[in-house]
Amino acid sequence: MQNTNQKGLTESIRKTVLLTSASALIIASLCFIVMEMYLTRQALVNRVATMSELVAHHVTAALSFDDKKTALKFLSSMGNDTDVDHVTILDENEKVFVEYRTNKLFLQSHLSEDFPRIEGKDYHFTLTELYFQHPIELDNSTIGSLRVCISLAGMWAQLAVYFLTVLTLILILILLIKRKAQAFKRHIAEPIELMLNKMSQVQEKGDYTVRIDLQRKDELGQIINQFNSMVEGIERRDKELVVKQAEIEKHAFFDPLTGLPNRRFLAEQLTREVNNAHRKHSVGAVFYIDLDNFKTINDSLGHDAGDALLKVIADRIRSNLRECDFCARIGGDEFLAVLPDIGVTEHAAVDNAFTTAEQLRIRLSQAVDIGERFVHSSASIGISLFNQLTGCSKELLKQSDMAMYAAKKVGRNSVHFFSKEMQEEAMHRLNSEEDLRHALEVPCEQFELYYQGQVNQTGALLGAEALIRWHHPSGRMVSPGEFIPLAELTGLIVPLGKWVINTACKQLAQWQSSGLNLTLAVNVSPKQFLAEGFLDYVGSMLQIHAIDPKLLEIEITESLILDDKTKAIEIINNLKALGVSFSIDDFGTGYSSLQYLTALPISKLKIDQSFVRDISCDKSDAAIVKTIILMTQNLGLSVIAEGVETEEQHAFLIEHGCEQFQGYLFSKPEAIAQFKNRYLTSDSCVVDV
Amino acid sequence: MPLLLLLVFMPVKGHALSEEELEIALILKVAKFSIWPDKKEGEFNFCLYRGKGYKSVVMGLTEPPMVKGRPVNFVFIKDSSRFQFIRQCDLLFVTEIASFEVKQVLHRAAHAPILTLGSFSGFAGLGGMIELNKQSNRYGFEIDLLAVRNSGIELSASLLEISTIVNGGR
Repeated sequence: MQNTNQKGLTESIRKTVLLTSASALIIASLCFIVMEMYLTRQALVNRVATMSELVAHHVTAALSFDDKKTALKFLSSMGNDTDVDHVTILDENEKVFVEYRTNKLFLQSHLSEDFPRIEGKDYHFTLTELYFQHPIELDNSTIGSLRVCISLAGMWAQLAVYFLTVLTLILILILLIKRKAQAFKRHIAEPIELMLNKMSQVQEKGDYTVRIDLQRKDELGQIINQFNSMVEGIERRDKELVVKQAEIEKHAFFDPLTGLPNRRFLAEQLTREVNNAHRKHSVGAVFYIDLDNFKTINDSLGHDAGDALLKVIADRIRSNLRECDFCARIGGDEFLAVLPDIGVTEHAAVDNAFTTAEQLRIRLSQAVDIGERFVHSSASIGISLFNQLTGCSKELLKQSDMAMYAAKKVGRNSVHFFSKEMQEEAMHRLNSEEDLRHALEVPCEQFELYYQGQVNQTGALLGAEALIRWHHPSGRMVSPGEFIPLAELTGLIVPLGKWVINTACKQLAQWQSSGLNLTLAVNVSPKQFLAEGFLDYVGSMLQIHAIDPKLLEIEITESLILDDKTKAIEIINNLKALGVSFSIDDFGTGYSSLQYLTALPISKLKIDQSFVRDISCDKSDAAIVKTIILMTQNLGLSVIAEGVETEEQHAFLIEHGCEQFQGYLFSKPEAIAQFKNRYLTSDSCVVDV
Repeated sequence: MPLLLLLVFMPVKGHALSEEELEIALILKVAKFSIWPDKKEGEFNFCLYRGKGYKSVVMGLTEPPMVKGRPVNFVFIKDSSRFQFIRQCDLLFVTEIASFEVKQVLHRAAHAPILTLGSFSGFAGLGGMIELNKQSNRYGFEIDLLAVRNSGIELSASLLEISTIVNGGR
């Protein structure tokens, strides 16, 4: 649309200039040509009239006295005029007295047939000839007439030359005008086009940084300068507006003391995160944080101290959260934090939220240096979770507020969930963590390693897998599936893992001293494996217990490679250098990439029990197992199937080349005493590996 | 001096014209090519000296001819006793007479606006203005331009074009 208008303007100006000029030229030229024709005719008539009058006067006597010779002499003198076609003298009876034609003399009188009758005036024009008649008078009486026929060929030729000259001039002038129109276009239309483009830019994009860079001293230059000044003014005003807007927003949405967003900004952000959770089916958490003794500090130490404390608290909250988390100051000593995507399941979210909240609570309970002195403060944190089922953000705020009051009610400086179940879960977790921590503080008394035998195709014992058991003080046996995730979450996995390796190495040393070459497989979690000092610890244990490193088999999962591939490979290679064996646990459930299988110094794959369980009824599981066995054969690895519970499974595995087995078909995990009774009472059960 | 021959064909009354009729007609036409210095009104006096033979011609005219818009009054001067009438003439035609008499007649007419014509050879040489020459059926004019100029009369250029000029006065 713009371009069409621009083109239209330019074309319109060009066409108007050309058409107007061409029309004016053509009209003027036509007028000149018509006038020239008229003047040429008039000049011809005047010339012939003068000539005729002269000759008529001179031939009066010749006609009177019948002197044709003299008459012809005068007529022939007219023949010098190239336009004269023929001249005739008629007597008073209109009979031809004498006639002269170009190159022909007629001495004999005869009628001139082609001379038209002229009435009312002296001449008559045809397309090709002019007929002129002049009376011959004597003593006031007409005694005859002189008739002249003039050929108009000369006149037409002259007019043709004139016309061609004019036409040439018109063409030259049109070319000149066209060039002038181009110059006009360059000078006027193009700057206008440029202005239109720039104006469109301003109008369509709202871009007020646009300027027309064209220096002129005429009216267009003035318009351009005015435009530039106008846009500059708008741009300046816009910038001022943006700054003012930012200031307004800052005041409207941010707390000037802590720099954190305020309640108003929070409402928007929380609504956005709740909507995201709806869309992504994820779980997020809201922490309502309230300082426990702020009023006392404020009243006793003054507002400045209170303000200083609030600033530090705000910094601590901010630094304890992730980049993607959001926190705001919503009241005097009240803060609110929104933590999106803290868990895929509600259970995980409760764990993560609780851990984070606990860390935050501990951080906020640390003394604060406010310049002149240290102030001790604490915070109560109320948590409410949100997911795709959560209602509006107001409700969420209300819930977290209520949770915070609950935290206050139970004695301040604590974390409380809004949901009763969650709170119970969190309390349970907190208690379990405490118990776990306590169990680790009292060495070995509550933990025990159970051993599950690993046998060959003939049922002979090759080694065992060490499996940890927790004898809870309540008398309950806590399964690893229950406390290992908690240990991982709290970081207690590292001391726990050390205990397991130490105990396993001790057991291996015993077997070794008894002359048994049994391997012992130990599960190591990724967190433990990648923890600082793991490699040194394993090395020191091997050394302390003086065991053959190859008898210690560390079982790692595929996810370890995913966590920190480079570091994992480095540790694996270093342990391998010490002589330790590696096997991949739960193979087939995770990453299952051939690339790392060939890259890592793995010696054994352990087929996950989930595949073995349905081996006889699920064709796809059977196919996976067969593929894994075939793959280990091709890679030169050994393979062990875990979770073998039936003879049918055992037979299938043997049939397809599996060499080692572990499962209830042979033995369940047992304490060392039972394990010894089962396997180590008869020598025939033990084979060298 | 070559004489310009003019063929005058003037059919009147359905028969061929006599020599006198022709001469009268020619003289009347010549008068039309002449311009007298002072514009006169009234009758144009066409005088004939000893022109008795032309009387029948004049008498036979059905209507009076006109010269310069003036009706022609034919005046017959029969001899030298009537010389006083010469000065009244506008045009004086002299027929063939003795040369000394011609000189007397012309002397009387001299320095007056009287156009003198003669139809005999040598008239122009004697001081006459226009001499009519006839050879076979053709008439020509011999004009003494000095005599014409001396009289104050002007002759049309076209008449001069067809005449033989003698005594151009230059």
